[in-house]
Amino acid sequence: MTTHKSEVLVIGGGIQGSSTAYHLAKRGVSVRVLEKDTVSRHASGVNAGGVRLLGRNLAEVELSKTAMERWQQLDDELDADTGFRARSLINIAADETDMETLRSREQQMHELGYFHEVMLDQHELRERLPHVAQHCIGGVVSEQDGYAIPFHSTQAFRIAAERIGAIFCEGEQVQSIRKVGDSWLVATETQKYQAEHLVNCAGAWADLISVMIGDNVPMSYSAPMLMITARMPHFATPVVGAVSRPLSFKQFENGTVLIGGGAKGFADRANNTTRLDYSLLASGAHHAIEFFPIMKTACINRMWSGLEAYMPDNLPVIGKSIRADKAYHAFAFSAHGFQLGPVIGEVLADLITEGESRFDLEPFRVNRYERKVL
Amino acid sequence: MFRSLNDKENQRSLINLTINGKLVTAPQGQTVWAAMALAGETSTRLSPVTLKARSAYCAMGVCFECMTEINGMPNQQACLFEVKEGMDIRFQEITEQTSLLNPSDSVSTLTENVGGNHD
Repeated sequence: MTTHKSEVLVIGGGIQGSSTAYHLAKRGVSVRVLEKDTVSRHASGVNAGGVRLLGRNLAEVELSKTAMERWQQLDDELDADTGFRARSLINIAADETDMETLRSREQQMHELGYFHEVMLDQHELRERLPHVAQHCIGGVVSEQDGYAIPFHSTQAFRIAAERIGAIFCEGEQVQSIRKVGDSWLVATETQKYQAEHLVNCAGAWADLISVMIGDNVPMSYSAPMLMITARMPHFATPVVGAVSRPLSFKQFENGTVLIGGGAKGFADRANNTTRLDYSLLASGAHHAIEFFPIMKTACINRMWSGLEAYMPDNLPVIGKSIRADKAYHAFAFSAHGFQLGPVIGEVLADLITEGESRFDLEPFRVNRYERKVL
Repeated sequence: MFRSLNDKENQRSLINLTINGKLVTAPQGQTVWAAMALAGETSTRLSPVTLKARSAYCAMGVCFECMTEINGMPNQQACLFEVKEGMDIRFQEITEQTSLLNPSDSVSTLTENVGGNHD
């Protein structure tokens, strides 16, 4: 049997793996992506498409800012239609406690030199969202934010990467990983692959790959749920969230409204499927009505969920393997990795070709939960 | 023109409702779609894709062509709802151009009176 050789082998054909392949191929590195199903089959293809810089964990702000700059011209860069629209994103404050939360966040951000989150008073909020409920007293906006179509975005990276030499192998589930000398040897059911560098972008299955590489990681996985309405009259241009309520929605150009909010269904990773929790979806719908009374007239057309990986601190794992040389991780983005896709590929390409990244990856170490003293 | 084949329908008690602003009576138990057809208001909605008028195709709940606005609630299947006293039925006109973003836009029956009579 022939062994397929490349300089880099990426496991996982989601947006992180596809972006990594794109950035490596751009540098002339030979790269192959192994995807157990089809590219963007799971979280990268079925997420809410939020392109959000607003409210990022401080550890992620620099990465997210760089990604946001890339999103603004990503269609041109990839010569594709990702569906990106810069519509701004507003988190709504429902009460004075929310406003207090926003004020302390604003002070913290200003002290760190970040000014992309701008607070809104009630009048400004109503001007941007004329249909917001009377009890909403303010909010915060990030102007560059918006949404994209996740499946198209991930495919855009894949197609751009293939155009410059990257190879994507679909239906190839990794069964074993071994290091022999300076080479990673990876076997699937029928094929063998060999590479100098190995990248783990396996999403909800990344902990299994991580263990094969040698890094234990307390990752979990879940099935965040979404629903989409029939067309409604245009009533909200920005993407909408709430400071302290599980609410998130966006209205697309065709009038349909995508409602998220983080409610989770039941994940069945072994069988590649999820089940929905309809009572939680119903309460998500009620939250939308509470903030936007016009949502009383919404008719839900479809509901779904995808398999997503989480870390206990809701921060991703990004960086070099601790136990193995020339292995790298980027997974467990905890339901907010889509926006980071354009920059994560660059980070991994830097780690592989330069040996380091210009970003501080310390908070994303794979072994950050390992106990120092027993 | 549509007409009812069931003569006994006329003996049943009559319900008052409005279809596109027109006051209409219909026998109890009749579907909204039948009441619309008999009133000569055969179009239920504007297709947001073709911008052409649509009406019932199957008239038995399968095809979703007859969606219309009932008591301010859009996307209701006219063929599956029975007429109710005071029901307000309107030709549904939601396209990609429909906007309620300008504060002066009339919200019309939307958001008001929703959830009135249907079960």
